[in-house]
Amino acid sequence: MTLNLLKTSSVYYNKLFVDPPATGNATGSSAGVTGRQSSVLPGSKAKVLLVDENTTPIISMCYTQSQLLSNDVILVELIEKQATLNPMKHLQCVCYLKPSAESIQYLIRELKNPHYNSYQIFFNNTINKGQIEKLAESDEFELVQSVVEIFQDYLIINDNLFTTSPLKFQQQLNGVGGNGKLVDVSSSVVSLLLSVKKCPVIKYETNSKELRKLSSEILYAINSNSNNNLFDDVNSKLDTPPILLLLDRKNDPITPLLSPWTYQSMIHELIGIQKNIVKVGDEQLTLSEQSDSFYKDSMYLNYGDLTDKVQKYVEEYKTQTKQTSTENLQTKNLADLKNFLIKFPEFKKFSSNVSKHLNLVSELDKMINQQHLWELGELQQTIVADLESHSSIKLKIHQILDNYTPPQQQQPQVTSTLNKVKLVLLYALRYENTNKPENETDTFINKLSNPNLTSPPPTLSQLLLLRSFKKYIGISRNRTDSRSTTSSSRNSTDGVGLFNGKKFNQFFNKSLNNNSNSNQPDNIYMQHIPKLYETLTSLIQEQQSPNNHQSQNTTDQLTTLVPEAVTRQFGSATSDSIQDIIIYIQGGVTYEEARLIHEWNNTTKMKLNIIIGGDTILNSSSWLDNLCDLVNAAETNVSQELPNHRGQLRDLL
Amino acid sequence: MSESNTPKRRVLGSNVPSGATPNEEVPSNHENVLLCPICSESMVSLSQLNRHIDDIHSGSDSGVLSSSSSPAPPASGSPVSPTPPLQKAPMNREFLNGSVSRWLKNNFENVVETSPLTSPQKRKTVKLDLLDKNKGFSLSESLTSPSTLNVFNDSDGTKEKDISKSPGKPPTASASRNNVNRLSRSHWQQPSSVSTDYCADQTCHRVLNIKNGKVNCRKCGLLYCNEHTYYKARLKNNDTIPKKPEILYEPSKEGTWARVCRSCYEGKPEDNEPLTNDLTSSFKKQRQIHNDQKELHRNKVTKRFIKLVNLHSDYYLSTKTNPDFWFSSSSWTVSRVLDEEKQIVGLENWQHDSQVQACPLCFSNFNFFTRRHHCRVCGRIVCDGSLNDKQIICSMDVPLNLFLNNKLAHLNFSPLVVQNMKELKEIPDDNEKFRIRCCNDCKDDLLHDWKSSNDSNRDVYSSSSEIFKLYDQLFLIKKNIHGLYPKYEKLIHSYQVSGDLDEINKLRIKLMSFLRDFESLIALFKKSFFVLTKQNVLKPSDDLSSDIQKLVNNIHQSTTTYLQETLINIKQLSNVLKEKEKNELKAHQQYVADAAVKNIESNNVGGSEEDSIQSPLSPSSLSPKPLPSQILEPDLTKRQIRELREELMVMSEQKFIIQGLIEKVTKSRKFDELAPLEENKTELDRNIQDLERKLGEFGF
Ligand SMILES: [Zn+2]
Ligand SMILES: [Zn+2]
Ligand SMILES: [Zn+2]
Ligand SMILES: [Zn+2]
Ligand SMILES: [Zn+2]
Ligand SMILES: [Zn+2]
Repeated sequence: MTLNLLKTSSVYYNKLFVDPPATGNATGSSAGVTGRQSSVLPGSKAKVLLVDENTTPIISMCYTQSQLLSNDVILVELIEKQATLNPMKHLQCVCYLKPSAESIQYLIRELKNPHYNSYQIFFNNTINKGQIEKLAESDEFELVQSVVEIFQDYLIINDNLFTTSPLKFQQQLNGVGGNGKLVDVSSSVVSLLLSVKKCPVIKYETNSKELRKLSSEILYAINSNSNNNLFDDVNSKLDTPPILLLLDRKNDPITPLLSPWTYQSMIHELIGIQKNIVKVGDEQLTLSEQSDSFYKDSMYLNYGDLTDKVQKYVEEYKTQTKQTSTENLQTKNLADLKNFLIKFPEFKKFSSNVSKHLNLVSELDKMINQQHLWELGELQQTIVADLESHSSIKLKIHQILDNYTPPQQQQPQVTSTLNKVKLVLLYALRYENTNKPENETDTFINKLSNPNLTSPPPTLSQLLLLRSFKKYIGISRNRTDSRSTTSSSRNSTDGVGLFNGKKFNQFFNKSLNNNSNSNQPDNIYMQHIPKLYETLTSLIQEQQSPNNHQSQNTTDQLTTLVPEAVTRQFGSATSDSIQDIIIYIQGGVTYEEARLIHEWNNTTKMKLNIIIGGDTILNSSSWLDNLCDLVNAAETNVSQELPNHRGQLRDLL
Repeated sequence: MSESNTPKRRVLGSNVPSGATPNEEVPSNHENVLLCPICSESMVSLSQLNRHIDDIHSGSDSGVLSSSSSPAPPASGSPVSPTPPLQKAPMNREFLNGSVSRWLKNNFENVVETSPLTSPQKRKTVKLDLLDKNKGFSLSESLTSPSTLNVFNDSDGTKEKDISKSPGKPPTASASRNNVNRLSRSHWQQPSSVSTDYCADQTCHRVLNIKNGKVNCRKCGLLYCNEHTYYKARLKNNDTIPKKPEILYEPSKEGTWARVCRSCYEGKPEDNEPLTNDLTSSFKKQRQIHNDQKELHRNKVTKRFIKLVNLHSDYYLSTKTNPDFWFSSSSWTVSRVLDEEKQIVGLENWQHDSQVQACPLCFSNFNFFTRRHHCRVCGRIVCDGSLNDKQIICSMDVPLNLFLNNKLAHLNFSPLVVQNMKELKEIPDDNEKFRIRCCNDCKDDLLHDWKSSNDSNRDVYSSSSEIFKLYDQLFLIKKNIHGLYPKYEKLIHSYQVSGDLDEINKLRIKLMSFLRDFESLIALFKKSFFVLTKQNVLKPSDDLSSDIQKLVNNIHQSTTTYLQETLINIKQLSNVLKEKEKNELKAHQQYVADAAVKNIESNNVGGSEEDSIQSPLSPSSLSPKPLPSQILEPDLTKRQIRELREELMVMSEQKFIIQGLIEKVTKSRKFDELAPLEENKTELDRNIQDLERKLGEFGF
């Protein structure tokens, strides 16, 4: 099974609506002791889809309403509203539910008091024996035709990008690090592993306490027989064990803070994507790799290439409009009209797609200019990739904070508070190990707090973050800490770790751009390479050449757990080659990292299969919020007592 | 990977330095260590413990006790035996006896033990790496130094010297550390001694030399360049055929890593179906067990009910005539009735008041206000539900004739009851006799069969049934179209010069009539359930409830989309056919022209030829019969009928689309676009009428 999420979802779609599993006649036909066979109305295949609040986004992100309608799903209902449903005994019911205690409870009620003709039950994750017994007990009228587990307890964002199931509001209130969340994330990841048929070796970043728990949770789920040994044979066609790489966002706080410059990333950064839907003005635009081929071709393009491509797209549209337009209807003869009308649905789709992307790109352009992102983005890259000297960087930050007036302009250029905070945080992170007086973080913070320069002033929690992030976000600490006794070596380790973007960039650009058409190999706005790249490279190199001491640093940071099924199949020598990698970033993944993986998958010759995901998809604002929350929680110590007030607190501060 | 080297560091979100290694820290004081109350295995989280108890201790308690008291076997290596779904899982000794920490630690030890650093075998697989600096990421050939070719190693331990100079030559056996695993090389393509060898990859085909490499794919044996053997697969010899060795894929530790070509890499059998797990049969098995039990129970309840009816009928009939039964000959007393009721339920089932402190159905405690009542069917003590706030009526003193009317009249009652059934049914509900106390559970059990036989007809009378009646018809037509369309499509695509048009025509006529039916059904559907608002917008009728409106909307949308798409598809197919016929006509004309030229030159055929070009006709029309411009009522040829019908179809379809456009334009209030559309529609209407008149009885 190649790691191809969209294909997985389309196969599952067929299972759900097109070609449902046989109704298990072998054992089921003898059921009619009392002759209570459900009377299926002949010919009628009208279906109702019964979902719960967990599976609703999964369905709506993968499948369109017209797709459902074309497969005779003429009604979609929430099982949470079970009590108020209208009885419609003509309809066959397809249930697509997460096996949560709540959904099972509702389903039991539904079966005891059925509203529909018959039931095909699908769960999007593993269901335990107790649950299935309860269901069997409640199906008094023997209306259930099939019970099937399919494994899709996660959201598919791109073909190679997933997020774990969103948490319910209630769970969110219960705090970030709660066990409930951990188990949810674990079962979501496990469902992903099952759907792509991978029983992986687990590698996680040793320094993360959260990941240690998560990995043990996942290993337990794989090893224990609660899943009816589903994991035992999934690798049977693989030569080498797949790898589940668990990373902690806190080990790379830089990547989500930077302004990205490729299409999908920019939309999320500057407008915001929620479950593949973007709101521009009062319009809701759907972004789908599956149904929008223009988007598929352009989602990873950098801004320069993107604008070219959109322009061509618009021109193509214009030529077609000339041939067939509604205005021409009155002047042209019937033959032309006929032609137009035949192409009409196609044409309409085309025109709405053009306007969608035009809309998006002009919105992006607006935001770039509004936020002075050309200057700001360059400076961000300059800071993190060491493109200029420390003093010249400081000078530029001062200019931004002072709202300076650029040479050719009349007006002072005012940068938003949020962007200023991000910039200072980047600086503080980058020069974390540079001591005063060279390090001017404090000066910058003072300028930020000056209401004459920055209005509205940064929130207290943002200032708190800037002052005390060091205690919580370790950047090059994994390296420096081991040598912390010799503090003199600190300066020499500057530029290592996260900030070797430049070094990798040459390597990266050279190889990647040979294949892509990018005519901007030295794009100043894309100098930073996420730490993920380094982690992956050394992981792969270490596997291939274990005694390469250069990569030792990285492998030290990863701990490995091997499920029994893997040991059984491959023996204990599990580290001899890599073909499939599933990456999960706890704390959130970025579209930029998904793009990196996309390029990687398409460049490597040996068909390395990588997919990536996280519990959420970050942009710089949401990441800054999360950082503020984390630092606040730790500093004010409210995390234990009032975890649900944290968000309010953030707004207050 | 060795944990002791892990640098101590702080993790965001906690003030506690968490430098400890995983296996040390599982039982750390900073965390709440959870112990399984049954086997004292330690757990990381509460949910893990829950699952552990589900997995390990569910059901067979005895097994737990016995195995946990037995000495602990070594925790490593013993694979969990696969358990068939939904049977009681055999105890997993490893889980029972090792603690999680020990078990985790074991895994860590495995890792350490198998660490690449300690495995000399690993060191040799250096140059296979595609991400190796020289190869993976740089596409530059010049970086590929010849030395990488010279020391190429398979991980089976055979070290090949200078394969670029002597590919195909099996190395001496002594070089192999592990002879058993050595892959057979007898099938290898030998490098040509006279001519040049080329890479066997279709897209490459470059000359094989020192620079490009000259490598045998270990699977197929062909010679490739370096770049095209840059893939790895686990292989093994097929030993079952000793004479003709064959290399097989072996995706396990038994397989030997070896260099293969791309087609062998990609040809590796793959498992491309995402996992699904069908639990239906085990579900149905359990349902069977439960429902059988319930069935048994219900039979018991029904039998008791019959006896109760017999008893009370007897009581009622023999006491009704002389209400003053003190003086009657009958021996009926209230306490005798109660005694007999107890006998029917069974004394062992008749609960004692002291046994029960709360109602089992609503959990209210019994007291002066919430009184105890005996259900006469099951013997349990329940309340009457009058005081609980849960809206359950726990029990009722039900007049028996309520059961007898319709619902349970057919049961196997005593002859006395059967004879007097009519009278018994007519006993007024407020009669003090002929009633029993019955709890809610027993009522459900008694009425179960009646309910399930009535349930399926329940919404026949509801508002949705009309909708579904129409939908079912639509569905049926859709199914017919679905059956015909692929046939039609296939016929048209396989249609050849002078092929059988009759079949195609027949099919098209059928298809079109189905589509017409479909369209008129949609119209009927619209008429029945939609109303036109003042703004001229179609909208589900307000009489319908909101979810029925949703339903109606969805059905309308799905059916109209289907109709539109199918019409367009059929239209496109007609174009394909037309195109084919046109080509055929041209070919024919060419033939005719050639023949004409061959014939007498003075013969003027040119004019007629041009005529037929202007009106492209199908082959059957080649007989000189020009298409008349005016009405041709009686003698329409088959072809003309077909053409006219086709035209009519196109027109109707256009009308349909235009109507949709008009609706849309009206909705969005773009009235300037409305006028030309309306104009078009009128023109189309005119055309359609025209055509229908021409076709006359041959219309659909
Ligand atoms: Zn236990
Ligand atoms: Zn081959
Ligand atoms: Zn080649
Ligand atoms: Zn009660
Ligand atoms: Zn009593
Ligand atoms: Zn009872």
